[in-house]
Amino acid sequence: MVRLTKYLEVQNRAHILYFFQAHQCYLQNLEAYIEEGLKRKHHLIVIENPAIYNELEKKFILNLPKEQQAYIHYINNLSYYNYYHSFDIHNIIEKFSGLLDPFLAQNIVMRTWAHVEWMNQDNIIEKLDEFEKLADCAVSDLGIMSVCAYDSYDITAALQTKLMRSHEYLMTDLEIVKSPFYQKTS
Amino acid sequence: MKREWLITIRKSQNMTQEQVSNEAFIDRSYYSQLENGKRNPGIEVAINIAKVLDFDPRLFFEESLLKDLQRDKISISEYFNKLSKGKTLYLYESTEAYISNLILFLLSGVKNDSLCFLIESDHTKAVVTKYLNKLSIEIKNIYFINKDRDVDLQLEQVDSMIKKYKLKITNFHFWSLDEQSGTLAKLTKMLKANQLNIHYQNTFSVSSYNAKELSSDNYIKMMRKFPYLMTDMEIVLSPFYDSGKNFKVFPSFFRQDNTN
Repeated sequence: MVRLTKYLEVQNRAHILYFFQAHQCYLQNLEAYIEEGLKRKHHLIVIENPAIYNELEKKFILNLPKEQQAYIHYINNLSYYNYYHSFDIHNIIEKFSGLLDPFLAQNIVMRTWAHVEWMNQDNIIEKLDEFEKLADCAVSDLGIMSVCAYDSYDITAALQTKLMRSHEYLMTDLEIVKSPFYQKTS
Repeated sequence: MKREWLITIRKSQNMTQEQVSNEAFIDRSYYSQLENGKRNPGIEVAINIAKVLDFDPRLFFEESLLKDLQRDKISISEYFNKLSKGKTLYLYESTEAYISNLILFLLSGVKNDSLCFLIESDHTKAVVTKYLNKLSIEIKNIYFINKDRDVDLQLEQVDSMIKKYKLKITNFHFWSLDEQSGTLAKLTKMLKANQLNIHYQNTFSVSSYNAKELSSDNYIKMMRKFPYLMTDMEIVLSPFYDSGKNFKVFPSFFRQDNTN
């Protein structure tokens, strides 16, 4: 068992769905997630929007000791999710494995934070739904902790329900609960 | 899972799949998939097959909806039939499922001797009336309020009706779509003014919205107001209702840091 937070103990793996609203709360949650990971000597893969990451760097990351900064691995979410083109599920999952493999090969414990963004396109709801189901399997198989963050103003209740089926935990700016719709995929 | 009960009924009447599907105006392979449990029928098809084989079409919905969902999930028909009270947020995606669930709701209201109110459009009223007539269900205790017309005028009419017939009702069912104008609150007030004893324990309400039109931030706000959340397929307890009455609610990451 690993303590996800001070209050909530979960298995080594946890797939957390975060619907954010307020920008400041979002930054604070991301910072706290990184901080908690660093305390446990987890490596952190942060797939984030460049503007948000820059803000976080200035506010928090650049103030960390160099050896701690080395634990944080930044990935630009716009290129990771192919923002300006089609949301290609299998390509993204392949990239995800590619990111994690070097850590797994050396038995290094890591946690991930992914801010999911996309451009309007056909069948995006179905694509995101399938993507997150696959991601849930991966998180479960790999035994890692992973946060998927979505802007709650950008998505519909229909998509939210679908995503709640593939994440065991649901987080808002202020709370974390178990998802009542979670359907374990493995 | 195979619908063994359907196969048994068909065989007891010495009918082939071909004969049933022809008389029910559906494709034989579709009917075969229904027997094999690979597909679920819409309400129209369910009624047609039930007529051919002479059984209650609700069997289809009972059977498909009564499948107990995982963990603490409550099946829709079980919830409608047994609980008969509660405040439910229904976010629908499929119109067909919406109508089926609405019919189930009204049937449970009729069974429960409830006074039922449907705050919906004229179109839905027509569809629902058609199905209830097909099922030979009396609709004397079901009142329709057209949400797109003058609601106050319609409430006055309901008010007169209640006074005229001196209705003594002890259970209430409310179903509304896109309730934003306070119709439900006005209706409740009017019923109370008629000395009808309406309270949480005898009131069953479903507030429905199109899940594809509601944003996630509004959904989360609504989750805090409703103890039950319903989709086309299931009912679950709301994790955020009444400050975590149903579920443990933990502070988010940064708020935990602040409480250290």
